[in-house]
Amino acid sequence: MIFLTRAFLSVIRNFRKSCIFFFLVLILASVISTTIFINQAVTDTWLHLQRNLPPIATVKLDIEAWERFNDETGMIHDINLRTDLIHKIAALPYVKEFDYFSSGIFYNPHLIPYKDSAVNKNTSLDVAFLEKFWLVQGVQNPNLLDIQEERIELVYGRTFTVTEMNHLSMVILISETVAHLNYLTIGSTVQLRNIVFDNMDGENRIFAEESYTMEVIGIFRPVSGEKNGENLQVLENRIYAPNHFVELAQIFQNEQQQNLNESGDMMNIQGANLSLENRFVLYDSQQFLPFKVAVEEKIPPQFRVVDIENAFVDVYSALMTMDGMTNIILWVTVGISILFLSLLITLFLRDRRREIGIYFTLGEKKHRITIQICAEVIIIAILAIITALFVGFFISSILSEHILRSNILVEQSIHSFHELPFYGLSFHGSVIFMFLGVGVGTILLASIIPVMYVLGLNPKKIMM
Amino acid sequence: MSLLRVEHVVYYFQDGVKQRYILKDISCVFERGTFYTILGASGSGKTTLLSLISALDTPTSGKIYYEEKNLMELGLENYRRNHVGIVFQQYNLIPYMTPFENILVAMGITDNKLPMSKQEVAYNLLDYIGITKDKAKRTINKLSGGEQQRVAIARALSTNVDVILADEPTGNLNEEMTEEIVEIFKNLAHKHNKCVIVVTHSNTIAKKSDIIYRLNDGYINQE
Repeated sequence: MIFLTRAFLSVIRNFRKSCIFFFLVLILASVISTTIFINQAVTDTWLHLQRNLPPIATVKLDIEAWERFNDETGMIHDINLRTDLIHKIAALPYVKEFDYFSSGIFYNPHLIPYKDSAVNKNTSLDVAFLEKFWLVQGVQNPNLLDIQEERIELVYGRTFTVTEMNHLSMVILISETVAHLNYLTIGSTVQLRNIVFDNMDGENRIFAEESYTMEVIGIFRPVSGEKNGENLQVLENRIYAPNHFVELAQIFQNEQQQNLNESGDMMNIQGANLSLENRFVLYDSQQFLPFKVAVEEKIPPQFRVVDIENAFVDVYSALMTMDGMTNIILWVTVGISILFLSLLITLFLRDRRREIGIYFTLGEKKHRITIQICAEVIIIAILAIITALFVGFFISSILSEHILRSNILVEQSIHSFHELPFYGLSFHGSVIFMFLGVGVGTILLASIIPVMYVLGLNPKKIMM
Repeated sequence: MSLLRVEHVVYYFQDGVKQRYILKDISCVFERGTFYTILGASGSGKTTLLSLISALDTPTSGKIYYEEKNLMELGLENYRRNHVGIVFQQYNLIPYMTPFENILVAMGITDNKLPMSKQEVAYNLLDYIGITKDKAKRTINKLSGGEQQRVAIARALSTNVDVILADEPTGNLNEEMTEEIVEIFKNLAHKHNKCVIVVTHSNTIAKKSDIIYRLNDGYINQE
């Protein structure tokens, strides 16, 4: 009977002890596997985020810096980066693509908007009046960054062409819901009125007006992650048009506002160009720093350059918190496992002193006795570790969701990128390999003290 | 050439500052085909001498030779594995195994060549010492004391060794069982040419042996 057969017989015949050892290893290995699964998921998530984040930078208004700058100069400075500056930045060698979005508000009392009852119930605004105004989002990139960022998807028609972008084209994209509510299809036309109101006597009187007939060339649908409350309502009622059109409409607004002001009426409704966002796609995310330095030389002090990863900083810190917690739990559990298992194996071996003495008396080689003991431990431990792999996967899926949900920072951030789409526990090879490595390594370390105990036994004292 | 030779063996242990001598100067020889008993009162050093002959311990001074080879040079582990079989008063069988498996364990450890397959040797030995096939498949704790001691003897024989050492092998057995076990030892020596050395305090057993060594006050005398 070879020593490995002895090990197998010992495991089978000492069933009660084998079960105790199995369950202890199972519990400890489950904790280890849980932490490894969470750890790996956190690492994967962050790597996935980094891989999937395009090297995008934006130039944003820093409100505090703006207020400070205004106070220092006694002037009110621009809150939007001028388009000529955007083009100058876009000309930098680091920039692969760029886009900026000007937006304007246009009047159409006949177009029926999408209404979210929950959102409108909580507002005290004159909804009936506001519903007649439509937010037109100007875009510079013909492929629409909102489609590329998967906020919306094109369901019918097409996006803009370069020609439409560079020339004044009366073309728009509307949402599927708005199209449905207003019986609009590809090729339908929509009237958009660019109005400057004069409300000198408390009534909204039209001071100046331009009307545009816009052709629907594309119909989009918000993606599932955006289907919540206010966000959805804004997206559904959004109209996309080329920047060029929105800018010209703004020029008309500004000119007429000036005329209105010169006529002495300071009370008027502000029109187009509420905000101007920009996006610069760099060739490489490593170029962010030199890009930032180059841009900051060109822009006024109220603006700052931020990279897109800043949008995920809360998620990153939450993920790192989870990573840190699981790391601590992992190594503490490994330590406790080594201690407890060492103790348990030694106690079980104490009960088997006579058996070990028999092997010594029969002249068994010490290394074979050592291998037999390790084999017995490994046979049970492997079964427990494999079971723990599944138990740990199950626990980690519950725990990680609980941890993520309980973290306020992440609660806020999750909405910003569609319920953490990349976070996922997986059974891939590296996780299994790592867990088996840590598990078997822990068991072998825990066997050192018991093996030393066995090797230190004196057969004469045991047997005689 | 003697099979086993003990030459001026001294054994003591340190008790504080004092050295407590168990064996003062032991010299004796053991041959094949002979049934030896080492007789002595409790505390006379019988078991210590047996532990030295069985290489479970080493003498403080003096030498033990097996076929004129010093045990230290032969290797204690190697000597136990291939040249000596030991039977204890407490049987010392592996409790969760069957008699058959206990014998297979010993045969799995030795380097000695066996005349037949391990299974055949095991069943033949068990049959020789009166353990049926049915009993050979029961676990050890389901056998009587006498049966367990028979299994222990079968295990000692299974490795095809020349020297069988027994430490008070009948200490836990009744008179009838004692008779049977002693008969087995005699047969092993006389029919199978083994060197059987039994340590006992029983004069009855000693009388049935071929040569009696008496241990007294750390010295040995042949009677």
